[in-house]
Amino acid sequence: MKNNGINIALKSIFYLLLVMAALMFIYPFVWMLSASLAPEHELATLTVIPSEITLKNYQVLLDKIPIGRALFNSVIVASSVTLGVLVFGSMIGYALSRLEFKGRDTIFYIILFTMTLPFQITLIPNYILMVKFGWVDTYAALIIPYMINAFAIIMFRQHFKSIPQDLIDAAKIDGCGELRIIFQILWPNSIPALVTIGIITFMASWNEVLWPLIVIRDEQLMTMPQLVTLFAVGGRAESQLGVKLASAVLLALPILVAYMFFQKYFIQSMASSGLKE
Amino acid sequence: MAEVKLEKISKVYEDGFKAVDNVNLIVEDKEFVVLVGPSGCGKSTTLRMIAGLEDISAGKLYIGDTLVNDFPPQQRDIAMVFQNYALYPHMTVHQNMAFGLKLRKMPKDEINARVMKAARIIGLDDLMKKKPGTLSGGQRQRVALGRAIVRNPKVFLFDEPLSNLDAKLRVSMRLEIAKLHKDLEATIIYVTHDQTEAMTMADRIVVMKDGLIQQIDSPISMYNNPVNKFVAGFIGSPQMNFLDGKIEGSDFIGENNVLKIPLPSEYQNQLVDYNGKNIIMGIRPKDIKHVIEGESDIGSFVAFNTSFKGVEPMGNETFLYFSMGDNEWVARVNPDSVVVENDTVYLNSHKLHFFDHETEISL
Ligand SMILES: Nc1ncnc2c1ncn2[C@@H]1O[C@H](COP(=O)(O)OP(=O)(O)OP(=O)(O)O)[C@@H](O)[C@H]1O
Ligand SMILES: [Mg+2]
Repeated sequence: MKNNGINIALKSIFYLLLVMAALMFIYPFVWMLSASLAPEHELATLTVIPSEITLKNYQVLLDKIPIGRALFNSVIVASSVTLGVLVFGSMIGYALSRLEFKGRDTIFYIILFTMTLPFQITLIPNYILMVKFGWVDTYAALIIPYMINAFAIIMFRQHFKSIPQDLIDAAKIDGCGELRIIFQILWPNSIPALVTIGIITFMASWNEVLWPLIVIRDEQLMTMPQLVTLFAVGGRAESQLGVKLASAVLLALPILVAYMFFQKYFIQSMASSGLKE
Repeated sequence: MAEVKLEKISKVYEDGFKAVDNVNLIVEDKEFVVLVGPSGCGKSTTLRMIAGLEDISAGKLYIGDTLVNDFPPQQRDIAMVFQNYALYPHMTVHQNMAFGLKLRKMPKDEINARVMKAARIIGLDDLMKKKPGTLSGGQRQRVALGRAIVRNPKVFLFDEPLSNLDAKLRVSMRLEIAKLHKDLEATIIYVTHDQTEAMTMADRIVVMKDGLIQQIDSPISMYNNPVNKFVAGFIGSPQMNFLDGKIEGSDFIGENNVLKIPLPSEYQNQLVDYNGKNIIMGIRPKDIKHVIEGESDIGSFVAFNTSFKGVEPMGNETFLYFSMGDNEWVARVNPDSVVVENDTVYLNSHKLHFFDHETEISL
């Protein structure tokens, strides 16, 4: 009995700690949301429940920067990048796992090697390339360099290796070419892999700030994170905290919505992205 | 329908392994040819080369009168059924069967007519809207058959289609495929390592070993006249019993004198050159009796005393296991025999097979 009492006490403390940790984690988000809806003068208190709810911060934000346009840009860029990664990634992954040609494995190892290079190393050469192509201040600079990525290729390669060769052979005999095999036979049987890779890619593209900062100067072409970052830290918010927070909320919103739709796959994708980091 | 001709076909894999070695084979129009052989002998590789799924390293392959070496699978007008069914998991049974026709731009009405007809032939009418994942193994293989039939191809290729099915289903599918062959007047090349399938379905059997064809013949004459020890051991179940020994005058003497068989005259003439030389003798389990009363030629049986290491009553027959020198032998006897541990078996001396000791070629 005595033991039991101690046990319960220990458990309670344990849970208390967990709850506190959870609160510490979630508090900034809740505060961000509530503060963005609160009048400016209440912000200093760090309170979670504002005395009145106002959309004024959002109004100011909309007046100051083309956030709607930026949302549109972000959607276009992230979607195109994701589509490109899925299409090209599965094509290359298929070739690397199923076609027989000289140097196949060498190519695979080179691709694997590029993953170990930090992004910063290729930043300057890539930028110079964009200048030479005349792509600075165009969507092309935001989309095209990201349309193929090693991580997706490797994920697709591994996934396609797990699909029985007989299925592919049957499709060939039925009259499928390689492209049809990829998109009509393999894709419908790879939905979880597609969604997982899609989510990881979309998120990465959505959250990218550094690259857009380098290749885009035209405000009309800026993505949301870029615009918001420039706005929040670049002085244009005129140290109005509420407006900054409103911009942060808008930045997080699309990902939250996506999360609600794809919750199951999100968790899966986070688990498998452990491969990368 | 068409004949298939393999002229000096070889396959060397990337890693330098020669899986198929100089194979010559003509499969006649409407013929049912079965490729058998132990695991890894190159049966699937041969079939996959015919299908166009594997490059041909050397030699020529004709389907009908056309040289098809460089044709992709879809232009060869063949259909294939795989061991693991290989149905498209995301399509219904109907879509699975229609897929190949759709790709060939066949009008919708005709596709439907063909699919429904094939479904009726193989009894799939009720399952057309189901996905393969919800079907049993037997049903899946039926769908795979249906997918092959609708195409109405020149040649059907089967790669161990029944291996994943249970014994009972295997028998019924065997009959069904045999019937299909007759009804469709199809040219069929069928790979298996189940020699019962080979014996019961084939017009001709092709026995392969290590990428080489050992023998091509009808089931019965292959059973009666195997060209070498390998084929003799491979065809027939339980397999043929072997014993190393010598010819001495008119007798066969087993090694270490375990057995002495006075040879009937037909063998004496055949084996004159082997007098005093090493030789391998073979006898089928069915030619060893436990009871010989009532046999027409009692005089041709040679008695051998042994103790049985195992007795397997199969119901309609009984297998007796015993040692013969260093070899394990089996006799296949009448189930009514009363077997005691130390007993006598009788070898029918007219039913012997002899093989050269070095080359293992039939004499
Ligand atoms: N892609 C490949 N690369 C190298 N060797 C291969 C390849 N595919 C098959 N082989 C080898 O070729 C030989 C023949 O293979 P194959 O699949 O034709 O055998 P099989 O007769 O069908 O055997 P089983 O009864 O087990 O199906 C085997 O030894 C196998 O290891
Ligand atoms: Mg095989």
